[in-house]
Amino acid sequence: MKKRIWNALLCFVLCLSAVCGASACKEERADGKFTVYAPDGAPALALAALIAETDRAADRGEEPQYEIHIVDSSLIVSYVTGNAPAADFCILPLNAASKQLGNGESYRMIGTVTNGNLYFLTTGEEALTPENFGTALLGKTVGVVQLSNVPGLTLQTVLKDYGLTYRISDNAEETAAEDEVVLRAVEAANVTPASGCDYYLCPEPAASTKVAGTAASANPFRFAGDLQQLYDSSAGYPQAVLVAKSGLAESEEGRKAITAVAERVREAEAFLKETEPETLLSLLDGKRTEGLAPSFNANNLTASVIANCSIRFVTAEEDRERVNGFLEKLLGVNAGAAALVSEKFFYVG
Amino acid sequence: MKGNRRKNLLFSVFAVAVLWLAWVLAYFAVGNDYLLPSFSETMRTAGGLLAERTFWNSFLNTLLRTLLSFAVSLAAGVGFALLARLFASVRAFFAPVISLLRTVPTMAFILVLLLWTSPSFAPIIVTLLVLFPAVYAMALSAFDETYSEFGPLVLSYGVSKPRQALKMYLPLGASSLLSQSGSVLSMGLKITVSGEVLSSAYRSLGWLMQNAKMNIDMPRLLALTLVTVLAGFVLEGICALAAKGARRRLS
Repeated sequence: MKKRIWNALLCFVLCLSAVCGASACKEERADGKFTVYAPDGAPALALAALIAETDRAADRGEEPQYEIHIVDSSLIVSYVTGNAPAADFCILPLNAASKQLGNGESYRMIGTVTNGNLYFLTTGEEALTPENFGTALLGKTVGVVQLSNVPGLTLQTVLKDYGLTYRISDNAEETAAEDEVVLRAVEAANVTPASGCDYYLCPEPAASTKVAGTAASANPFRFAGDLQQLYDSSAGYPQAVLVAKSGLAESEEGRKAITAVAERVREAEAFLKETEPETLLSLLDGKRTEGLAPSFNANNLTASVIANCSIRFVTAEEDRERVNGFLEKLLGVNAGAAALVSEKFFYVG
Repeated sequence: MKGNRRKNLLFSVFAVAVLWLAWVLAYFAVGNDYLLPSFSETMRTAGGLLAERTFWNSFLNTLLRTLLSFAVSLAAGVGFALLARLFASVRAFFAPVISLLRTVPTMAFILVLLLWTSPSFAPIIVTLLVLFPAVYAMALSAFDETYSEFGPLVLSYGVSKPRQALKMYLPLGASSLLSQSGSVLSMGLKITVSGEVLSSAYRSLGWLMQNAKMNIDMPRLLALTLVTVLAGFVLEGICALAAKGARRRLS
């Protein structure tokens, strides 16, 4: 009887060891493919060069090394969280990455991918520049798309940097006093010249769509300011980042994949300038979730929209200071908007 | 009888004329094309829409989603209502389930739905979850009414439950169900379009409307809205004809 109990216990311990061993090796994949996820829009454009290379490999009859998925932006965090996150690599907003992955345990930041795509629109005459921003906006209302998210929070950090007093209002009839700026939340689809604000802060490609959509009207929109330039005239702000599973850094194969993906994302800036928009649309179409309406189409994917999306790769190591600075500023506006990240979060290759 | 029908038709035409007049008056009162475009421009845009292949693809996708949701809701709603009519325990079981489905907000589960399904399929589930409780309640009410008329009779003759279902509840409830199903179907169309906007479903009426709004193309947005409303009327009319046919067969 005692012997049977010991045998059963030994079997249990051996099984447990096997399971632990298997889970430690979970970054080894049987099919050799790495999964890459990005939300549709500017972050997906950053994968254009990688998609093109993957498609070329498939055309040559080779087994593609990367399985790329362009998904609904509202779901992107679900691919890097949970017990078995689906993404080996993922592009997601920095503030979300800081909150979910900031301890560097499950994922680490490889680099910044996009550097801001928010633009002021107005039907008025006065454009907003770093020189006049501190005065031109006083007594004005600004309709902000995604006021409670990074766009609105980034605007608030910029207003603070320029020493401007601001107030958030949900009363469409309310006007701003002479010494303040009033911010109002608006849906991108509701940004029209008749919506009642002096300026609107809108992301690309919606900003260009609005300008084009009102061009023939009596009261057209025009571009009136670049929030990225107002935040930091040389570099913009770190908007979306590329992260990779921490386990990848522990194997030779994983480190090679990290280097390769980072290189393709770095090449995206030049690739997007050289490639026709129709080709880019076709590349993205092939990787988008079935049935998901595309952010870009033949009407709104132009060279100027691509340039306005500020796709430019900066490694985590090089961008550490800017990233930490941006997160601190966001926290200064809203303590729940982001989190400070640990040193481990930044991948040093 | 014929005179009454003619009179009713005249009143309906009059109502449409009143609505048109209200639009024209509102257009001049508002005086802003971004808020309310003119009737003529909207009609011109609607005419252009009907010539677009993208429109028909999107319209058919939305219609198919609506019909699928409606069919499943009808089958499940009628089926479970029948069981609830025949078995008190089933009625008691479904009472809180139906209340929950009626009140839970769509946004609460749309994100989960998108994870588990796809942007094209999620609107079908959303519509199903709204239509099923409505159809269930409608069917149960029809069956309860049938029971109040004939229930004691079938009980005294000891008619079996399957026979009650097939020979009494379903045939006698069919007319009432069909006459109300038109409004359920047109409601389903409206919900499907909303679900398509929420889930960013490609090539759908919801997607076309969202795009029109993004492009500040108000005539197109209103034209799409009009087309959706007209489609709802047509669906209601088809159901009304089906109800009439069912009544004739039974009488």
